[in-house]
Amino acid sequence: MAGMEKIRAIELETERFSLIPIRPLSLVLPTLHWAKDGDAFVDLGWRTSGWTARRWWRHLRHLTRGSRMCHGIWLRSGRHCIGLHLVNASALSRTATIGVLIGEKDWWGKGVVTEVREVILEDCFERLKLERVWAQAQVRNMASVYNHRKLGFTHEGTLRSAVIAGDGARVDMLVFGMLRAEWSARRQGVSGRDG
Amino acid sequence: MTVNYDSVQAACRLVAEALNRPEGDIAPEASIHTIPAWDSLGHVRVLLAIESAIGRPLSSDAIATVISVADIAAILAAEATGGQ
Repeated sequence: MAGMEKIRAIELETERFSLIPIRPLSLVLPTLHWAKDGDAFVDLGWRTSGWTARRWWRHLRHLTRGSRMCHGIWLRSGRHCIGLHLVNASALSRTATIGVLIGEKDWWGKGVVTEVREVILEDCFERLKLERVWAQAQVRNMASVYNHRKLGFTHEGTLRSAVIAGDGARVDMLVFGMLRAEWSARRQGVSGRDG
Repeated sequence: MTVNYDSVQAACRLVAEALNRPEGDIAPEASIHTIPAWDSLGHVRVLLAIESAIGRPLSSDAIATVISVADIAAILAAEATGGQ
């Protein structure tokens, strides 16, 4: 992939959502309440408290720098941003870690992540020509575990006592990965590995 | 560990109750890929129902790998024979 030092995010569309590269300054105030809540931040390894508007803006800006790209998840009807999708790619290994934040809790459990990830994965493997995409999920975030398995990710391992959950307990993180070949097979209707 | 008829039936029943579906709707080969009602919230209910059935939290690896009736049947069968 040429020019990986600064990957360029492009607008993407799903049935219900527009995925638009974020402009941090314009997103700070409409989304600051996500940061104040913090519930959804644990899987991403972000602090769950202590956010100010300035700190949140700097964080959003960081998500768009270098080999990172960050899409806002906007409702196609109503133009309301309900979450963020993150990709952090490595030029050297042609891999990327991905993360997602559904900040508007009314949208939890409504299939947003699987719908968004379908086009994000296509972008990663088809446009960016990556060889591997991987992600982590806190073990008790069972909905996130479901989303990865539903999309065909393989459970590659478990990081024991890797993060501190919202209640202060140390919990395991699960690592899920998908290779280009698995993505291609899945697109062709051949079931990928389930184990 | 042997997955027997009883554990498969128990798994079908567990999934049906967790997803609020008739037991007859849940085939032994059913999975998250074949049952529309088995969505992310349904999956949480299924996993919590398994934990309720075995009386303890699932291991991290079990949480990561359970996606089908057969997977659940294997856990229930292992539990019946003395360990996951």
